[in-house]
Amino acid sequence: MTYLGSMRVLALVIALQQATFAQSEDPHERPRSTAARELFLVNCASCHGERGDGEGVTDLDRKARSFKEGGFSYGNTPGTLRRTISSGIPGTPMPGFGGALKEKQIADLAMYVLELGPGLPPEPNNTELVVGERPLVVRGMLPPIAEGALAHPRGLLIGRPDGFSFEYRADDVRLLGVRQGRFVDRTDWIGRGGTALKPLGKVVALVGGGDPGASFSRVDEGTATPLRAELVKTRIAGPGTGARVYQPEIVCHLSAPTGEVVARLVERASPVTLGIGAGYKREWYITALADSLQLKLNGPDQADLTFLGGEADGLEVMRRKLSGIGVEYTVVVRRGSPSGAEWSWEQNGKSGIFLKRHEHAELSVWVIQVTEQDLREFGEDRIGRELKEAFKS
Amino acid sequence: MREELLALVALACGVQPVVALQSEADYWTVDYLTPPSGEVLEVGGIDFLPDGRLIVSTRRGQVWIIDDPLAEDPADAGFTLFAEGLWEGLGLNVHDGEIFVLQRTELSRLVDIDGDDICDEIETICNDWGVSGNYHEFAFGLPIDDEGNFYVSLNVSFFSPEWWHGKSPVSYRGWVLKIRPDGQMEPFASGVRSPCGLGLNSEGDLFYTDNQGDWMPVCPIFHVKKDAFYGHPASLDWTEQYLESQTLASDKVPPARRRQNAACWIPYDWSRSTGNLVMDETGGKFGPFEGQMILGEVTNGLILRAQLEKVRGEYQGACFIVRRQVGSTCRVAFAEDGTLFAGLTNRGWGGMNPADGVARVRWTGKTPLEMKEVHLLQRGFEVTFTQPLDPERLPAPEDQKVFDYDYDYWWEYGSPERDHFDIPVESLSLSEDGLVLTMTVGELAPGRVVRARLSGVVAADGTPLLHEEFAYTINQLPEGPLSEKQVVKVVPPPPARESEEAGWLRLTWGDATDLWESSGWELVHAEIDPSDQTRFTTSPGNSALCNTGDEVPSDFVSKVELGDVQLRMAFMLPEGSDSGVFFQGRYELQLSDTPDRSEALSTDCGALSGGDDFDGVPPERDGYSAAGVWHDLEVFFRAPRFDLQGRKIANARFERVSIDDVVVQENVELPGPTLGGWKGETALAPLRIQSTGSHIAIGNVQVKTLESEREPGADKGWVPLFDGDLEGWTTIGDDAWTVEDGVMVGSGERSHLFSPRGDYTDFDLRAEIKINDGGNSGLYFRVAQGPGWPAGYEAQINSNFADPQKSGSLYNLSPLLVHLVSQDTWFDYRISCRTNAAGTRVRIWINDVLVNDYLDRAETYKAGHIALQQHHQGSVVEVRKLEIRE
Repeated sequence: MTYLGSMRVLALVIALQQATFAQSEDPHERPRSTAARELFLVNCASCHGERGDGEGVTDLDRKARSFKEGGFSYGNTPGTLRRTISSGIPGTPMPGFGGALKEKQIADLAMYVLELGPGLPPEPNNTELVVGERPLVVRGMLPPIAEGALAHPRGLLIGRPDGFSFEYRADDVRLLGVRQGRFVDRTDWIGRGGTALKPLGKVVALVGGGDPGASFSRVDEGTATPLRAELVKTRIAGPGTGARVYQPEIVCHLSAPTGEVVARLVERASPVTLGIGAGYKREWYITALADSLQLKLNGPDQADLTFLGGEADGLEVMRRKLSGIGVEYTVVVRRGSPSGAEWSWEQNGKSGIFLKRHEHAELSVWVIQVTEQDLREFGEDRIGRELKEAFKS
Repeated sequence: MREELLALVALACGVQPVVALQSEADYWTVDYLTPPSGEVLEVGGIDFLPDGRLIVSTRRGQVWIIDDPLAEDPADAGFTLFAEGLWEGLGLNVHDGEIFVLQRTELSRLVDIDGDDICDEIETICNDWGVSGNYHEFAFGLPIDDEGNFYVSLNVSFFSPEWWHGKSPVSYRGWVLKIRPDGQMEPFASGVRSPCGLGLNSEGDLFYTDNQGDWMPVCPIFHVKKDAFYGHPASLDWTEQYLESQTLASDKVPPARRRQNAACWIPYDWSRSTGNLVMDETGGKFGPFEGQMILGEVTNGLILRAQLEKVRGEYQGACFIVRRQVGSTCRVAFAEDGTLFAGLTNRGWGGMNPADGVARVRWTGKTPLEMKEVHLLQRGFEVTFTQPLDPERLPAPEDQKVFDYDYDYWWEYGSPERDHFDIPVESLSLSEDGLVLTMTVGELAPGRVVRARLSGVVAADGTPLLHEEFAYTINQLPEGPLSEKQVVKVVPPPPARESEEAGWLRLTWGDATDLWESSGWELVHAEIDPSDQTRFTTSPGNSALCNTGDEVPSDFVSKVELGDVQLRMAFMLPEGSDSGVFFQGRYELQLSDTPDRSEALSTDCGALSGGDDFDGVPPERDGYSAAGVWHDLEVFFRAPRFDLQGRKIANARFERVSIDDVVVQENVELPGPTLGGWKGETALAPLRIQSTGSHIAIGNVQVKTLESEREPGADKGWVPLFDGDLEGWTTIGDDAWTVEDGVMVGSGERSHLFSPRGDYTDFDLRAEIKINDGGNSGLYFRVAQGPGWPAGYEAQINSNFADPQKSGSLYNLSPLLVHLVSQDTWFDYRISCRTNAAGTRVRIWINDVLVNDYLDRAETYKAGHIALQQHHQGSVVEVRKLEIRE
């Protein structure tokens, strides 16, 4: 699937939506399998094949999933499949249809795809935690997220209703990676307990190889000192607490090696799907607790990053090659100037924020993966331009 | 199960004894709240919200709010899931309307911002203690004092294989912590082991309960003071003294530092895992124990109380049983109306059913005759009763049983009661009002626990005592010089565990069914099915071998044949289960759920069954306690003996059978097989565990061959292969072989050591061998000398190296997957290698039990050396008494 290709699909989908909408005005009428098949043929068959056997007409680096065997990347329950269809799979050509199809259409598609396979899966076992409409924050021991990484007895696993989970070590509140699929099996409920969690999602993004550095440093007379994040609380903002939708948040303090707490940070992390690729974003709301603070954001794996360009209004794009997958673009976005706060951007991929006590700043980092194939199709320059355009608007 | 307590009232005046029936249930009822279907509440914390609703935290990381917990019908109490995703809430406290939960990794405040009874925020108050990831690093709590300080206690860690030596690999394992309201943490006291219960008394003094194990002889109640040390050495690693000297506390020798006295050491038969404690400040709504300490008990599933007094300025006192048959009580809390709520859990710990949920223990308003208080006198005890005694029917002093004992301070798991001495009761005198009985006894000594049973005491209306016993811990007597003696005495370290394991074969360790003929048995975690107490429900795990599999279960029959043998195994039964262990497949020891034993029967648990022409033998005593409880069985069995013509000259005999250390049979001969036993009699035959229609769970089946008369000539003809040095032996590979004290030791990189002679064909070979943790070696025979892996038969030597073929395997030809011998433990290895017309027959014995019998029709190896393998760097093999007989 190409960028332009997906635009074409989108147009067709819109046409189809109108058609199906007219057909199913009666809310009690079950969707006809023919309608689900139509949806499948229009949206899925070009890659997955008309029969769902993975023999589609689109030329892909890696063949699309055959649904005949019933194996799915991110779980084979109707719920997990709905999520996959809705969000796509970062790092693969599988796009997200969340914006293009209605929830009910996605549900019908999920059932149709499941019926192509060998049958419905068994119920989850009684130690599996499933995220419902509210995000679920789980504390427990995290097994190594990648080969050679460490287990973390103090772990935070934040599961979202969209099927993504964000995995942090709690000791210094560092994001280790992002997973997609089923949430977590709480095997420590069995036997004598005390064992590690078993996150069930597949790792779709790994931060710093599973051992990331500190997100922020304090700059003092030209010297940057990494700041330690200390967990203050986890929170589910939601309709009951004034938020529009349920949103998990982590609140932490940034402290200097001296122990001085210099800032308070609220972090929200969520998946994102753009036309050119998919990934995740982290949004920070920063409050200075020191009299005067110059904060620097440390990019992930900074050494590998190539700076593509910055803008005076606070947008930077960096790229990093992901072997075998494609390219990961990191976009730093500044949202609005804090009153009285001074901003400064450098041309070397580093950003700095000057804040006085009790001043706020908002900052977000988007990490988008673009597949090799799309990269070839578009060319880097164009992707870079598209990315900057996307964030400017 | 509602056990009726039978109390025999013997009247002093010569009238016929009267049997009075009373039950604990007459005074305290127990019922259970009903959680939503499918939800398992393994309760680790319990308290009340300001509006009277109950709130519990669970080991599954959930927090539930329970509406109307005092509803007349417990089914009317409603459950709301307030929070989930925590890691193990083993402490909960509602303080000034705020909810605090102690998780394994942090102390948290749980906030419901919008009042919808769903937690929105989990605030980390403190997470400054170490968590290494070891399973045993529980954090318990959570009392809060008047200044808002929290108290938390941290379990030591248990690592394989020497789990019995608790460790403190990260900061403050084995400590009680004080956490200020602002989250600042203060290491408060050290030396705790498995400190499940913490609580404050009415004066604001902090107490904690520990669980028996290494350095804790039984379960104690300690008064916790700042900077004090409570006996488990591992925690000392985090004291300034040890940190500065960069030394670690010994896990075998008691530290020089003096441990605090326990205010109370609870007898082992009352408590094996004590839960938390609360003060009865109900104003009499829970019964007559106002101002006393009420404690939960997990293993025995009951409620205890402790009545402490200050003697010479320090707490000490007595403990008593309040109410049995409650369930595995980890947490207790009082409601406003005096109802005691008991939070239940025992997963991984073991305990009486029910194993989870919430129980309500309520006083019926009827006052039992109980010993309300026991005060220590210089020469006896002053016992205050809940009702006046009948002065006319005061029992005789000589009918009273009083004795004292102490314990060992050592790393072994718990300590037996040591130095039992009977203390004569000299006089009993009753106060005017009939409420206070003064018992004068022979000499009392400090540093001892006194256990007393008052027999024949009745109230004015003839009611007997509901509980006749107390146990009083004497650290100090009221008068005389202050004593330095402690109840827990420093003793020489016990022998290392390995020597105790020598000789044992672990028949179900590792691959649990490898050495058994069976179908329908599976290795799982088993618990009594709450909806049908006569069955187990199982979940993935390895704590139980059960006949609960999909196939129709067969008997569980050992592939090895046994003769004179000592057997150890654990077993657990659901209600009404009827099973048994058939020694040699023929002689049945009953394993049946028979808790209510008013009259001993030959169908009782621990009975030996009858045969065609002889009666069964009921157990002498009752060792079995209840369904759902794991019991330890130990049996010394002698097989029948035969003369050279095959005539029987001695019957099969059970020398001793004990269940949970209670001897239930001694020296019982059986003239022949019991009913259901195999026909005929032989010197060797398999062990058989019966699978009838009912479930049984067994675990850790171990056998040890008993010393017996050896067969004639068994020790003749053996020639040492090794005379104290390696002269004539050839090493190929690393120079890995040394001799230390007459023991050949292989260590270092890969190497093989070949015997001088290389023409061995038919022979018996034997040696004593020890392999280390993670080590791998082999005893080769008919092997060719050469580089690489040598060509020849190999009797494998491997206890827990990753290779699935363990000791007893004939490598690649006849593997054994069961881990018969523990690492670091000497075992006897014997091999017979003979070729005849059928092929080459190789037999392998470990500790005199034939574990492998293989016929190599291909006669793969014809003749060769004897050789030893040094497999890899880090592996250490020790070999002594290597002998051959051709």
